[in-house]
Amino acid sequence: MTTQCGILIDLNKCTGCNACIVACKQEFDLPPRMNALPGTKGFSFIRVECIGPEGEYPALWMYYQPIFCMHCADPPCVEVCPSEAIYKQTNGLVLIDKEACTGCEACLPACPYDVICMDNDQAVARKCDLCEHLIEQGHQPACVAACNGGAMTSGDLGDEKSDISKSREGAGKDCFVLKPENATRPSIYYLEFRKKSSNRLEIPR
Amino acid sequence: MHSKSKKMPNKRDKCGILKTTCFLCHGGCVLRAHIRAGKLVNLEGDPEGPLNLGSICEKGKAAVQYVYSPYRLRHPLKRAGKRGAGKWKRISWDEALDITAYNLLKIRDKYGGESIAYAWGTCRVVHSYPRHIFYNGVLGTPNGIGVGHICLTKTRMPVMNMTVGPIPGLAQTGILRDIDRADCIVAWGDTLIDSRNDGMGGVGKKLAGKLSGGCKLIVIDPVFTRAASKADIWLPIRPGTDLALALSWLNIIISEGLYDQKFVAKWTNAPFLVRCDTKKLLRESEIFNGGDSQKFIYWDQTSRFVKVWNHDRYMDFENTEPALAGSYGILLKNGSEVECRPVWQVLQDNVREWTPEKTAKVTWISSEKIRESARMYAGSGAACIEWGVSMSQCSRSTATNQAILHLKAITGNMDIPGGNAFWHIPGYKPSGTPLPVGQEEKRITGGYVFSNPAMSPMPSAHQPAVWKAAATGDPYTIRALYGESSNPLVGHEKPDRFILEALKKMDFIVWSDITMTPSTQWADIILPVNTPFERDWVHDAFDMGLFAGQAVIEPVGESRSDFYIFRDLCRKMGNPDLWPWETERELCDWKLESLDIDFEKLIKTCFYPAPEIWNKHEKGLLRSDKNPGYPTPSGKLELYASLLEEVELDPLPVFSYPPECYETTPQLAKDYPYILITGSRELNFPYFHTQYHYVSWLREMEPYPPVLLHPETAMGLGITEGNWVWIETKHGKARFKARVTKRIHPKVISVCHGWWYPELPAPAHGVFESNANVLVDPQGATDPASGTTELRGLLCKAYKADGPPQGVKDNSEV
Repeated sequence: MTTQCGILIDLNKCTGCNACIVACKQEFDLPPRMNALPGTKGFSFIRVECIGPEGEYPALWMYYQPIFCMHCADPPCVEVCPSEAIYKQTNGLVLIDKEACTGCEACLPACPYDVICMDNDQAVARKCDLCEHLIEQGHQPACVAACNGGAMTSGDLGDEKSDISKSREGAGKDCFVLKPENATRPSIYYLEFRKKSSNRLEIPR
Repeated sequence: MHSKSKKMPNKRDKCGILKTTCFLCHGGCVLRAHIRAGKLVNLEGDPEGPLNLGSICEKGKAAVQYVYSPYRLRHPLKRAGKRGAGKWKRISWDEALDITAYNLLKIRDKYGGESIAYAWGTCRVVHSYPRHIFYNGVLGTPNGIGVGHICLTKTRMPVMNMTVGPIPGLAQTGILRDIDRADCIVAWGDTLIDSRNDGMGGVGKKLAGKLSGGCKLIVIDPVFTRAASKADIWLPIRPGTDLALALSWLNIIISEGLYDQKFVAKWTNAPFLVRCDTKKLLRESEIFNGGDSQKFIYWDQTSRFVKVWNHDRYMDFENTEPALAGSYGILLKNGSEVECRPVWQVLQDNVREWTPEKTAKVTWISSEKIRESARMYAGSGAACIEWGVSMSQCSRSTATNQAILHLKAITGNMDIPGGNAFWHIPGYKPSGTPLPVGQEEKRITGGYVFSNPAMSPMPSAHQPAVWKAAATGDPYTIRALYGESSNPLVGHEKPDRFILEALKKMDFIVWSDITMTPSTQWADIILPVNTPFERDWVHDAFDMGLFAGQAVIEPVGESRSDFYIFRDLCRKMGNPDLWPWETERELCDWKLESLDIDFEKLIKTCFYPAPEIWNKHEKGLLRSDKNPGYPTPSGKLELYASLLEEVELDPLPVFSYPPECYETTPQLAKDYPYILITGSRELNFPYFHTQYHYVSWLREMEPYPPVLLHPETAMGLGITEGNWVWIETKHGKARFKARVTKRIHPKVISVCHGWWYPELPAPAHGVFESNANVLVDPQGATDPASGTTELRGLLCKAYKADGPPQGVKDNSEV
């Protein structure tokens, strides 16, 4: 079985606190692109989407969902990169070679998850590398370590005995990937948000 | 495929790791600070941190930007132009402290210590207790001004005091709880996840884990918050009606027999008789000649006669059977007979009208949910109430807090594992110095009894009254201000009236802070202070025990800890004896002296657990005479508060509508048709009140001051997402940026608090542009005991603004 680093995110535990975003920015020194002056948006490798609120007040439901590079088994960004700057590493990570990237932006629309962004200062495409430098040293990615809700588990999806594989196995049908129809085979899995008794509405997947 | 990647520089390389504790909110998250070449480069959660369990929040992660912010004050400053003109000259520490000492001494000696006020903030950057050595001992001023009357010290602490008595440590706040062992958590007016309340730094991970394990969560909030989205039951309450809900829960829990009958009968004053004519507790002196006016009476069902409760020495109701219900004709010593009822009967009668159906009409929550939630709270085993500050921000704060405390008490959830805990570390020394004789009486209380030491364990002046005094000279003139990391022009109510005027009038103002703020701009002398990461400290205001943080870096610039500022001022002002410590570590060691640990050892874990002793009232650990019971006038947990009775206030909670609402002021509601919430932590989310708006990684999450509006409301007003909107009450108006969402009731509008624009030009920094505090009025209707200002549940109107405040760049506006 080949190695495939991935993350499993329990949507019941994500509190939408954005700590993962700042942890990521901190880890990579991503510029906020504003010196406390609003108006220009910085970029980040993670976004936390609020799904909902759906329903009508007060019968509502919502949850938060962090989205970042899915480190797909079949990554479309690798396919479209004309300079072969994006590649899949042996541990399953999808990485961008900064030296080789020409900043042509071909990968941006190719990604179904909209998680590649342009670093205009360096004129290269950038995205989450799952903190490869930390994984190599046996640490967790910065977002996973920081996670305020303890919602994220990282590990090797290729290893049946890893915590992440066991959790995914245990969750069965509750475990899903985003946009399976694109057949990119993402390595970021989500545990479905379960509605509580007060949220008397069905939640569509 | 490539087989190797280009290495990026690893910021963990060559880093030393030092353990410390975060204090950017109420704190308590143990962290691992990565230090390279003396600089803080990264912070990570420490898995051994008992509150955070390894997690860290967005504020902690952004701390590097906070510590090294270009906005930080790096050396002392002296005013160079007219006061408030924003012109400054760099001076030395010696000069700054000399000028400060000279002016404060001059004013103290000429006009008395009471003419100097000190404004305190949330105490992130000071040693909480020793600072009183300077204020009380050196300045001798009773006029500390903070936000106690809309927060803790003058609302919940006195309510705890009148109900359970003065109890040790921070348990007095009544907010500590044992989440780890709770079967049910009630977040009452508390956003839980966003608010990061005292000791709740790690709430996310604990809460998420608990809920996965089956712990129930009830959230009471007008807004569908992050916490509400995870709740088993969300009660979408109409702002300002929490008291009605609490009374209804009491009614349901009592009438359905869901309360802890043994606890109520044995440990509370439920059996004490109340006179039906005067509504006062019957005293021994009223029925027996030579009887004690401080002794209470109950009816013994066995002997069918009155008995005297002796609180001097502990005595159980042994061999008697106190009546909790019924009505009894009692013969007074003057020969007349008076009808009396036990407190429990009176309490039941008091809440009986609050049926779920009636309560539903008042609170806008369905009666089914009211019933279901009350049963869940009382029937889930150990349950804790996360006591949000919103109940302390209305003019019914005493009654509302009292009713919620009654819920904790009668369900037997006080000081039990999984309930509302009385964490306490015996021997740990907070320190302070009493006021000089005669100064207590000079405190400016605004006439509110919760400013008095007899009612409040942490008595403080009434902030709005002090500002008014400073501006008008009534009752006397406040001539100087020591500002301590506080930002009254943003954080205090109605700052555009008395506060600004006061700041212009005073003879001398010194301010210590981390950055310039709209308030510090009015100082004569500015003292730059450290962040918590540049200081050594121990603090007990947390769940579970004592936490410590150590200086992981040298102070940035010439900034200093308040410790050294107070030390040197004590020396320069002629009281070196009052501040015996040379260094912060000495102070920390002194605080820990009676414990089996010193600071050096403590910072290895940063945590010292409070002993796991529960039900301290049974073990004689609450009263100074070591008898079982509570340190109240009766020795019982006083559901019927004799201390309130003494000051002629309702001893039991009685409902009233907000002073501005559809029922109270229907005429006003025609012009101001919406209910306004100010101060929700949800909208203050990446910040901490008035702090951190200059930290870019946080600011980009919430770049503009938000206002929540329901889509229907917005549409009716011609407002769309992202529009700038004027919010106007009869007290003032301010501009916010619309966030249109179904998470809020169509009749309710919520605005963020604590907003100022660090990036806008000094000295104003846009202080009143988007300031929720200009919408409220502390001189209006207030709580009779605490003087609490109505901050939530006011009436307002909303209309589209032309655009953002002048100077604010908003590229996103559509």
